[in-house]
Amino acid sequence: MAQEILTEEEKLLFQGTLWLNPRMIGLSVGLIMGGAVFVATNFLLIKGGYISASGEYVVGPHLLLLSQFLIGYKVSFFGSIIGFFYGFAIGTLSGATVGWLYNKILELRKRRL
Amino acid sequence: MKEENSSDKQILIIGGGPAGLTAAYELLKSGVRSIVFEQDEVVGGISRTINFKNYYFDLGGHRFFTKVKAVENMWREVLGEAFLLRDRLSRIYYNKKFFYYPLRPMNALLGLGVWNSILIVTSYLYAQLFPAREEETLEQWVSNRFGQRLFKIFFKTYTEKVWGMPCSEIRGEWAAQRIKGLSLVTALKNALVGNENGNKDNVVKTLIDQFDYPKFGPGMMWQEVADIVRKMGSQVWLGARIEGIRWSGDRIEALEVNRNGQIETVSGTHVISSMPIREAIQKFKPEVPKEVLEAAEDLKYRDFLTVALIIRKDHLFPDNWIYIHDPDVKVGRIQNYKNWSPYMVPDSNHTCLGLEYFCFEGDDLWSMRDDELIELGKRELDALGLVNQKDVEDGKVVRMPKTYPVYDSTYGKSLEVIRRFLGEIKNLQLVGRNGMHRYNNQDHSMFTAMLAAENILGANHDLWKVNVEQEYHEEIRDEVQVEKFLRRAFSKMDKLSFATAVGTVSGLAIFLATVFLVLKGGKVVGPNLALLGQYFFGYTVTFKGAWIGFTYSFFWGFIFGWLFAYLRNLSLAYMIYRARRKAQALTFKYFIDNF
Repeated sequence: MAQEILTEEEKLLFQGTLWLNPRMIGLSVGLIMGGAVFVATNFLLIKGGYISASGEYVVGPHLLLLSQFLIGYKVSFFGSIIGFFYGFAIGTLSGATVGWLYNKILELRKRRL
Repeated sequence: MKEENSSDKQILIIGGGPAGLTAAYELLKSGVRSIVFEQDEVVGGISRTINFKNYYFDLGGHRFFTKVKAVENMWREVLGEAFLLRDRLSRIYYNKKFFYYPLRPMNALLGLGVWNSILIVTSYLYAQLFPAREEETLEQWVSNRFGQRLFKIFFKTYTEKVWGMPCSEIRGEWAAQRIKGLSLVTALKNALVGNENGNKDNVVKTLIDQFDYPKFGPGMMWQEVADIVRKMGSQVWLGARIEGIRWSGDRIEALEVNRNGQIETVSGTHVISSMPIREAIQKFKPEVPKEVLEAAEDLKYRDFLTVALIIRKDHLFPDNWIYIHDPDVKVGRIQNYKNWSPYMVPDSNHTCLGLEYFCFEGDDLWSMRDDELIELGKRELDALGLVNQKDVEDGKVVRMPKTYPVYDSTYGKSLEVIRRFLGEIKNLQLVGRNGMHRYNNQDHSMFTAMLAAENILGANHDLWKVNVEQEYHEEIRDEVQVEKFLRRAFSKMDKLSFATAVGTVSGLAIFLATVFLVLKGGKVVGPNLALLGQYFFGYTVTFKGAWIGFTYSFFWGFIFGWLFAYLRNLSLAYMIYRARRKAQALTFKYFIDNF
């Protein structure tokens, strides 16, 4: 193919490998996860719940299952803020770990090459 | 501007074109007066505007567009509101039809016919699949990019008219040197941070669709600068031809100036020269070393003449200029001055066209009498089907020697020899297009002069870096940052690494969640998490299940990560492909406009 047309600058563009910034990835995933829990909780609150057979007012019984892992979380406005922090923390940790691991594995692979 | 002459400095400036006058103007800002020597009776050099019976015409077209802030500021300072913002339109005229460049499919299909279009596409594809391994000649360089057929129709004739030699003798390296700035990276940058109609700071110079233009042409600018310079105490000598450059050791001591047949010797402490290097070296007294003289004689120029014709028609075509690719006529480009500025003609029922012929000083075309050239122009306009020669009322011929410095295979070495020699002369600076034997546009010529003026005032700029090392300009330094960012953003994501990282984190998430619930205990341990078992066969909320969950989750995470990285790379590759196509198309445009 028309390989000869590539300039040095273009070759650099094609040959580069992406390195991730674990902090930025962690922050991004953290914000997305925290935001998701916050929005999902408040969405259910606005949508409203129902009266159960036992006469109890129930809102978001399935989302509430998160409280098994996120201690203190409830489907309430206050709970949504707690959920945001949990989501942010877990997301940040996961994202940063993905970024860090990616860079480490890439480094190993490059060293082997 | 400061008014008094600040020092014992005696500045001599050779050439009253954009570079020379800019230097004089800039020096005055610091109170330093100078003398400008212009051999013609008008200022402006190649950027002059001729007034013929109140019809104004330029030598070539001079769009006012620059990325150099200092140049832009000077234009505004001098002309202020006298600039018009003009739309740009220029097309190729071939076989009595107009073609946009880069080619537009329908325009090309209708203009070239179905059969020709098929042949062009086939030859383009062939060139893409089987390019010539060597790109020694311009013909190979262009054919590799656009196909042999397109080369023959849209590049060969015009390029040969401009440079006066067969494309098979022009080196491909020359094209590669001239056609820069439209790399893939530039195209990507334009796609991401600018667009053709947007902010002009963000686009490649030749891509603009609009430009500024003085009401009465570029000559208006240089006449005004000359007036300001004179008013502020500097001198502009017209009809002043340099006959000798007296030098001794590492300094120029004086200039011998021929005015009205009288030779005057003018001494100076600093000299700025925009006269063609070849000529300048030949004027040195005593003579320069033989190898320097030979190097200077090796520098070549392409010359140019304009036949301006006044035509009894209010409208001919909407373009500012058109390129003539027909091999049967000698004219290379036609300017329609009225479309540059409506003020360029005194009567809206008439049009003034400038037929531009590229030639060598002294060749048959150059030596033709003016009336013969006007007749030739009329005949060619008629033959092209643009104008009936009976509608031509009058005409004027202007010859402009040394319009284009030629970048042939030896000029680089010769220029190096000259630069080495002149580098030893401490009080001489070369500026402008011919002064540096560099294909500078007006703005770069002006910028070299501004820096030369600053050097006289104590700065230490390397003028040879202007228009070569782009980082020289601050705004372009920002672009380098953008390029670095682009390189990072468009780098490939390593699929295996990303897949492994995502797989590991997913696996760990399930593992830890399971272990957490197991440790937490209860009557029924993790009934909801146990639902995962519907997908992960064998998974339970137990220690053993945690390992099974880890394995499943790692597997799916790995697949997801790999697909994500693959799709991300694929979409970027598509974007790069699109940008590459665009860069190719823009190379077409750039080539026609600048080669």
